[in-house]
Amino acid sequence: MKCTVCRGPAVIDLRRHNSNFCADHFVKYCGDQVARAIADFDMVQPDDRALVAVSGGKDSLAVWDLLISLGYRADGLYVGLGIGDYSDTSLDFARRFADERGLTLHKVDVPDTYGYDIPSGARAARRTPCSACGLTKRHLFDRAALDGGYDVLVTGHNLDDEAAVLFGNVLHWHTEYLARQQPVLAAANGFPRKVKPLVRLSERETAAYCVLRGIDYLVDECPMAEGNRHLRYKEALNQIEADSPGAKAAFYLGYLRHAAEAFRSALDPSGAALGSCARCGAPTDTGVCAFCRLVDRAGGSMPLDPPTLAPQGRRST
Amino acid sequence: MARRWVRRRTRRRNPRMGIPQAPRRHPTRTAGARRREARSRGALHGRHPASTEPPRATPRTALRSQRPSGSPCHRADTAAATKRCASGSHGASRGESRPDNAKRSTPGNGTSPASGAPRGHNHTNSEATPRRRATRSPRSRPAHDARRGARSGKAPSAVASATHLPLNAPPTRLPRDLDHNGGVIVRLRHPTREIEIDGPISVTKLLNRLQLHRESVLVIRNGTLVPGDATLGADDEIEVRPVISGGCS
Repeated sequence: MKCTVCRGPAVIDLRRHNSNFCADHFVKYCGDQVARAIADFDMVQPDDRALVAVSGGKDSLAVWDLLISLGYRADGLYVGLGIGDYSDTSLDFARRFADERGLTLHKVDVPDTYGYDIPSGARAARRTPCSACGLTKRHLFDRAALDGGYDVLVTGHNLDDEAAVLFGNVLHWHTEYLARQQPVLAAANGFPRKVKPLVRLSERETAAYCVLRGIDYLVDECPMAEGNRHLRYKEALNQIEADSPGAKAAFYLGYLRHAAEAFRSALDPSGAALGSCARCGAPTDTGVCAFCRLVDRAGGSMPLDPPTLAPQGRRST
Repeated sequence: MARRWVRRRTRRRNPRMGIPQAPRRHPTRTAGARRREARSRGALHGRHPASTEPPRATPRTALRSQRPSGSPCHRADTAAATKRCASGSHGASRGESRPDNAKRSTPGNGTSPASGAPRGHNHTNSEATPRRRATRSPRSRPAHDARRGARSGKAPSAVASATHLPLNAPPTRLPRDLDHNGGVIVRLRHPTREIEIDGPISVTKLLNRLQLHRESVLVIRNGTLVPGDATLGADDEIEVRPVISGGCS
């Protein structure tokens, strides 16, 4: 099998593109795809300061590395969730990546700061672990990006993630979620601007990028993710992809092209007006935000002095 | 006047090569029918010359009954498929070490036609056997399914058949010095374990055998990615790394 570009020995075959790439041209391909996503959806400006949500996995480390390679200024934020050895190991991978490249990695530890961890918190709040984890991370990443003066919050959601979420939303016709499923969420109502530069790369491609770039990432799956609904959606989509290469990309990117605007325009505009949480000040449509309620149910407590990231070179608006 | 369809008996042309070929001898018989017929002719039911037992109806049972009890090939077929025979009498080729492949062999394969002396463990014997139709017993069904799965590209029972390890087996690590017989060592995750598979084998065939989607794993050989058509040779150390992550909100 030969590289489609240089005819040298290929290391990976991409059936959905009917292409094969050698190591160098595959790395270039990944950079081109991310640059194209950033340009198409107007994600990040060259002088923006980006905060990358880092978990120590392949996607977050790949998007951080790609942003740095493309010349953007990006720092990382790791949220320790208290999932036993898994959290400790993932922090090691994230810290090692940042140290090797001289990057800034911030850290917020949930058990130390808020007095609960995800396994016990999910049980106490009667939520699934992934629900409690997602809620916690969204709140802390939003807060850190705003407090740190970052222009954009970058997450490592890839094509498989987005296609699986879209698949689930379409299965149940969650029209409100469909309206919000965008690669870019603009800053509004106390939320930072959020972007997903990996929407044009599949999970296999981001993992291959890490292998070829020598990025050591945490391969093991989160022990709390067993039975996750999205895993089943991904398996179903991969089955379809095996029979029809390119189906996932056509599904998600076709949705963005043809249907996303219709769902977005149908979104109730009254939902734009949100109040503030009585405890933490986060945007919410109830008196107390979901994160503060989770902390209460999990037996934790809000810190008197919430962790903030020191603003570094904050842009004047 | 209605036109009557007449089968043309002219010489066929190979559409690729344009070379005239002889007409088929049995144009209506499919390849599967020919295989079944060859099987029922007793290609796999040969008995040891000294044997006085009546021919066994089950091919697998017949094969087992001919082997010396101490031979590694006397183990279950799955073990024989993954481990090479320690005696070396099967040769290095993959086909000779697999009972399934032996079933597809011609009646004379595996035996010296001139002397009739058995070669190796005498998996197939050319002694004339009564032509009788093989009846399928329940014990022979898994082997039948395995062959069907191998031909259709779908692994029959995945890891369980190839490795003796169920998918939810606890993490294990085979001792290299005892179990490494020159095959392809494959490291799997979730749970972490190592298996050995006869090589050479292509990446695509390996993944089919493990019932894994190409999109859901990376195959890494000695730290380097390998594409789907790469051939994994003996003594290669392979990692099949899953790429699916569940964290998504």
